[in-house]
Amino acid sequence: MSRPLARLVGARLLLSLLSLFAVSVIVFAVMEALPGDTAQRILGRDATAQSLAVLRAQLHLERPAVERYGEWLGGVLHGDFGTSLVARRPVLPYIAAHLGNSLLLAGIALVLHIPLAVGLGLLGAATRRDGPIDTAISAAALLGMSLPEFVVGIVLISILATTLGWFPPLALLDEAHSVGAVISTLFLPVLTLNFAMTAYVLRQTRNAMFDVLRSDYVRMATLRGLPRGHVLLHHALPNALAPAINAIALNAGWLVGGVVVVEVVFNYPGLGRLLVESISFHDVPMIQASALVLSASYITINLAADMATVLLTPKLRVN
Amino acid sequence: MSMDKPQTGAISRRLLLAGTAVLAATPRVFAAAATKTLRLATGEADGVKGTLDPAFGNNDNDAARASLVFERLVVPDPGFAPQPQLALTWTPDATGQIWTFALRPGVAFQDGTPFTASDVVYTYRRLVDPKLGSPAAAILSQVDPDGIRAVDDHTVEFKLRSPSVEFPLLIANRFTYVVKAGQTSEQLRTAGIGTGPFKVDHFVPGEEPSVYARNEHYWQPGKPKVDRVELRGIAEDSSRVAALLANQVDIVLELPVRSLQRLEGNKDVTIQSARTNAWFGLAAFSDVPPFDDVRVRQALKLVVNRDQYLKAVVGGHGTVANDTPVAPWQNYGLPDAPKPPDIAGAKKLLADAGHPNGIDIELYTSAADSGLLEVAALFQAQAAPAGIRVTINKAPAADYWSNIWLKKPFVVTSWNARAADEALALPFLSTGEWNETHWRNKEFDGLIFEARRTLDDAKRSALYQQAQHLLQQDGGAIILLYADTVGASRANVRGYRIHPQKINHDFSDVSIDD
Amino acid sequence: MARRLSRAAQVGAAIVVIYAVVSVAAPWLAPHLPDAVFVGGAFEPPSHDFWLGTDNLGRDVLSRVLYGGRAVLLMAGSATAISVAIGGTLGMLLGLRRGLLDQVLMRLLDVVMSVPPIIFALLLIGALGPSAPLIVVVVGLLYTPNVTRVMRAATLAVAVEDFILAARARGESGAAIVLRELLPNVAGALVIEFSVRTGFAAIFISGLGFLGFGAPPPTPDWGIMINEGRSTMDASIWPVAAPAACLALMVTSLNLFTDGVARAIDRAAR
Repeated sequence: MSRPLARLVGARLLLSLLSLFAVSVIVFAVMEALPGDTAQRILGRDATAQSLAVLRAQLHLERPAVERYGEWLGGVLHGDFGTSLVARRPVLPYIAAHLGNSLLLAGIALVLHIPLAVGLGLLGAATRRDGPIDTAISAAALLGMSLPEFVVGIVLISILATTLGWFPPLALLDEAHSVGAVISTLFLPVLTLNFAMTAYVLRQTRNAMFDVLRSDYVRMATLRGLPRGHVLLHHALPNALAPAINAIALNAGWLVGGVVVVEVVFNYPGLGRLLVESISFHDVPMIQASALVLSASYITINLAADMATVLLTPKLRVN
Repeated sequence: MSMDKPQTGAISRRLLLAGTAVLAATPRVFAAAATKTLRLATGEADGVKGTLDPAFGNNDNDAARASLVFERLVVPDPGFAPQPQLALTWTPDATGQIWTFALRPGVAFQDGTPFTASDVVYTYRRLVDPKLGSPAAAILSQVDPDGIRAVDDHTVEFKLRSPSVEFPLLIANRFTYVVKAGQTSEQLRTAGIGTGPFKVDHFVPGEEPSVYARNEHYWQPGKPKVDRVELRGIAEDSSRVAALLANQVDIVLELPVRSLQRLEGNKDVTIQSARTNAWFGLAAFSDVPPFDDVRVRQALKLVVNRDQYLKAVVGGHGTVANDTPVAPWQNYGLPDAPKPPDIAGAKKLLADAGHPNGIDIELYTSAADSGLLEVAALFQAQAAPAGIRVTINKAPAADYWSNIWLKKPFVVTSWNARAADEALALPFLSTGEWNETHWRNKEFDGLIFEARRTLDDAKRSALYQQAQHLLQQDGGAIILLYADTVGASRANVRGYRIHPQKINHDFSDVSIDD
Repeated sequence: MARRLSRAAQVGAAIVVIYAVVSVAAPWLAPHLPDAVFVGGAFEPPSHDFWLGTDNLGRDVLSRVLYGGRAVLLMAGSATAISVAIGGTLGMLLGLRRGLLDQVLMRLLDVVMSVPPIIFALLLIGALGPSAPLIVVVVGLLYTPNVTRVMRAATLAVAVEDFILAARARGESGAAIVLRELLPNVAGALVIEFSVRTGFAAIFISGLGFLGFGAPPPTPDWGIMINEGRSTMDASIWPVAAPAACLALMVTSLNLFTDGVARAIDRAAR
């Protein structure tokens, strides 16, 4: 790696670590302000004064905040994320398992949307601008960007799972014992995520392609008599990729948030759903760990995406 | 029916390597003997809160888990009469203050050790122990903690603080599952050992499904009739119903009434419902103005049109109630039907109480349970013509039972099905732990306590009925309707009978046809 | 400014304006109050009395959708206004100034942006309790860094132009430069940002409502309506379909408009 590049990576890494630390403080501080009592939430309507007192004492809810933060941070640095107040078991295995599931879902969605979006963008650009095919694709992209993920998810479940019965309505990952079953289980959540992501990259690709197609460089290639397909793929596309890569990078970051909503819609055992559940239980260690890990993923993904953008875009690298 | 992975590892590996897309719905038939798995779905998701410890069970999943792994001395039948399970007979002494239970011989725990009286003593002492902090202690407050003893290996004696004629029914509740002596709370949370038809195979709070395997030492011959049980909670109503239709689950323990239309007429599915005294209503603090005047409380009861609630809350699957938690068909139930609404009468009562221009009150509700919002909305509309101006405060669902119920002066409430004494005592005794109306009526307390020690059936009945009349006249609760319990199973499931108390299950008899 | 917007963009703009007008006029247009319960039976299909049917509590879906649009537009619009006001100002200032403050502030913004927006929103709203003002402020603050970045970039592109340098040489004050020279040239970017952000904000806020962190009643917010109606889709799809369709249409129109403006500016620049 060249010197300036190495410096760039180093600076970003440092910044990322700082961000992570800031996130941990923010997460912890916000939890302190949370009203409501964990013990009450756990015992629910069967709580009695006696059972509440016993549970509160067991959960050590009386120690000062700064002390608890220091202890927590120290533990995190050693890989110990504390014990869930509700499950009474270590938090780490839950986080690990749920993170794995979320990464699986997000990873598949991310990988699948790239060829799909770039392909469709190419297709749109290959035909006449604002012609029937281009308009259709653009309209679809616009719709994909405008529909909230939870609406798309609900509609897909309602049509494809409940009415037509082609796919299982619940993402019961544990029931999937074969590759085919896993695909069937994940199909709808991945499709939901892809609606928005594909739309975004598609538009960027298409717009960039049209810009590049107008450039002198491409005009020259066409005038030289090269076949259109060749021009599109070898002359236009490489130069149009920069915005597309940028969009893909943005999507990768967006996934961390998007996956939360989709997991709730499909009852998928991922980290986003775990976070939402822990908030309703006021399970402070679990909330802190989920939020921290999700933020860390976000930071890491953004870092990786930025690096990839720089590496893949010769122009930026020269700068 | 779901088939488990085949015994032969080679077959499964070959399937995976081939990477053929086999959709989950296609059943796979293997040469090797297949295990029969029963897949259950409840209507609540408990996430990491779940527990197997009967002392702390507090939602449908916990109840289902306990029913699979443990058993009780006495179980309530659909009519709430006590039936033997781990106890064969029970006799009170002359005063009704000392009860002796003869235990069933020849019963073994899931680890093979014999079930004896010491296990019962250990279980109950634990439940009433204030240091453990189980909610059961409140329900079992009549039991003298030092009065639980093993007379011999198969006889247990309970000494009560005051006589209780229906004590056996009292201990047929969700907490009193018998656990093997010596187990700690930590063990019981996820790996308890009981005498029930299934033992724990895999349970980690937050992981679904929880898995249970056949108890080889089960005392009932020929049971259980399946080899494995998987339990999961699906809170989303439409997903739960869709899962049943897609054959992802075998039994749905709770069905929303809205989905009945979709399931009726479907020949793959059997619907079951039971009449219960699980009730919906409103609870007002009787010690807070304006509800501290009995005329105001009575006015509130006069404005309601109970049939409308029946339709809106449970789609007609229930019965109207007359401000008593004991249903007419139950033991000690009152036969009289509720009166139609009387707006003029309500207005007059309010005027007499000093509110000629009506009253402004705030009603709390939430989406915490299905039906609560509908009750609040309807009450607001029905009370308006009488000058009762209701403002609805919709609280967040997660908060409702912890911070709103029992804390705010006027709330929408609902209760599970219970036998008459429990249904009257838990919410309405002055000393009741869950006295949601802050009602302290010495006469009512007296009637209940006396009924508990009255041996003569007719006299006891009269006392409970008198208590209910008092509740109707003076109490702060408006009890609107009783809701049926509805559940459904795949048509090839046999032996599952829904119980009025939705947390009561018997899975030992369930089998699945091929 | 370029007025040559394409047909599609004009349609988009028109629809957005219609939405705004209808939302303001909701109290006069809606046949019932959004909270009036049991004006009809529960889950009635669309009829002469109830154009979009009724929901589980017998409330008129049409009225709720009209008022819900108000809530969504108001909250999304306000949040965007906050982010554009703060972010726009900050971005322009930083673009003009550059120097140490610029570097430090940009790094700070990077740190703030490293928290995934939805996590931040869930934590804050979970901690302080859902309320419309809080949601507006949180969403506004979450989008501010993005707007700052965009406006700073736009300003940087323009700041090196001759007319800015000339204005500086003339000794004009910073404020004057911003208002007279800078603003007209970055207005395009500002309009696009506002339009795009409003769409995103609408989706985000209704998403929060869907997850259970939305503004409490009486504001019937489309996201909350979709969440509430979701479990009873078997009985009637209208309580879900109507707000979903309205939300989709609104955001689509906003995006159409944004596209048109971007294209028009692009063309004008050439």
